[in-house]
Amino acid sequence: MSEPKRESILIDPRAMNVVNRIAAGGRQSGTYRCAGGLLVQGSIKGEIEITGGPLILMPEGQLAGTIKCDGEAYLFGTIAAQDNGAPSDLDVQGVVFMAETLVAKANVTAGGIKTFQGAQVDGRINTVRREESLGLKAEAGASAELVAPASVLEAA
Amino acid sequence: MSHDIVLTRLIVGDPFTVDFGAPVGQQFNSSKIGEAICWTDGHWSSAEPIIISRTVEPSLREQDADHEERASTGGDGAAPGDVCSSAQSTPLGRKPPRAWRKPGLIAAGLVVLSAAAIGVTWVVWGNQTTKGADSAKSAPAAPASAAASAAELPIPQAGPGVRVVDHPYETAPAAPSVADAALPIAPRETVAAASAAVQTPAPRAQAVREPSRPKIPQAESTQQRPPAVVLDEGKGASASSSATKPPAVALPQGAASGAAAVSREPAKAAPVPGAVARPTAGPRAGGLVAVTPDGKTAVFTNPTTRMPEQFKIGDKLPNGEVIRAIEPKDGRVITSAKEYSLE
Repeated sequence: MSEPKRESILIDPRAMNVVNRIAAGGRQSGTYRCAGGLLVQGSIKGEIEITGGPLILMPEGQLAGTIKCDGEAYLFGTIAAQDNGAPSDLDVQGVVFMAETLVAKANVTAGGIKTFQGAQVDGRINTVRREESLGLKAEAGASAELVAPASVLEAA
Repeated sequence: MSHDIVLTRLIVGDPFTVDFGAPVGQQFNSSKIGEAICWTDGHWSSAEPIIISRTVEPSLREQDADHEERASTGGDGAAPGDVCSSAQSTPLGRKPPRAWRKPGLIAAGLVVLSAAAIGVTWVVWGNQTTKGADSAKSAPAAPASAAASAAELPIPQAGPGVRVVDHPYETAPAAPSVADAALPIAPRETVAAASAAVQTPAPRAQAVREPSRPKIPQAESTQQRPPAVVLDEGKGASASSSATKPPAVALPQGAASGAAAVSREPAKAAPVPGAVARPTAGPRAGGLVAVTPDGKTAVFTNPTTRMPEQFKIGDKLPNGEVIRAIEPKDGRVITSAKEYSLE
């Protein structure tokens, strides 16, 4: 039996309007409202809202808390439970791609789900027909609005 | 898996490829497609794939020449955000599975056929009812139509000079209509008017009658008829007529005076008052009314005018007969055709 063919994705931050990044090794906690896509290579914990772009959770990245995204989500990393032990909540307007390296303890609500062999999800997965936005407004060209003081994260 | 990605502060970098892994039951050409199960005919079975392959559309795509160049160099030639694979990616299809299509089509076909059958039934039943109503309507209309047709029969057109009347006989004189005004109406001959012109004394009313016309065989009439003689009016005529004149008959006084008065008048004068005693029963066409005592004249009724007229011997009566002799004694008048007598 031949192995199934693998799939990959071409991430072009400029084309996909990914203007927000949590670099590897960085840790953030709090409330994040990102205008534009978010690329997570570090760790973010808290309430995160992403408008105008996708959520890209790199394999070394980690999320926890309540995450809302009006685009798509490409999950390669880890979604941990909240501090109280409850699963995190991920609400994505578009399609959620659960890569093989995903390890999530979260309830996922998305417009569509695409799973890949090896993805581990501990929680409910809900797919709904999105006709209304989440109420998030995306301003074109606007920088990420961080409650916490802005920090420059550079790859180590 | 480590990614040597150089990302600046502005997060501007070259596109990079990230591996998803092997999709779960979503790859159209996957060899494990047989592991996919579907509900068919009331049971789960591993059958043909139920998901149609479809490329994932990125949420954000910028139509840029540089972007296309990067995309062409960055990966497998796919646009950014696209899930790349040697086989087409297959997101969750929203179309109904093929296995469900056949029963669905069959059910839809049955519904359509039943609806068509019901519709046809309604139409046929409706036509029948309408036909019945039409027939019911047409049945009583038949005699009406016959009557109408009879009423509509063409009335024969009367020719010129013909007056069409509703009644075959006119019982009472009606006022002439406008249509009848152009047609000539024959004058009515009233008996009263004719009789009023003639004064008849009462005692003589019954004495004088129109003599009945004797049946004279033609052979005898031809034999007894004297040869026609054209007599001139005036003295010569009177002299010739006096030779063959029978002796005079004494008439009653009134008649004599009336006859004398009449003798002075021309032969064919107006009616003679007092000399004629006419029966009240009614005038008789061409009948002898009276004879003068001297035997010179006789009074006959003109059938055309219904008025009494005097004729002498040799005069021609209205009926064409010529007076040959007048016998006042017997009250007879002999003509070329027959003999008249007073009854």
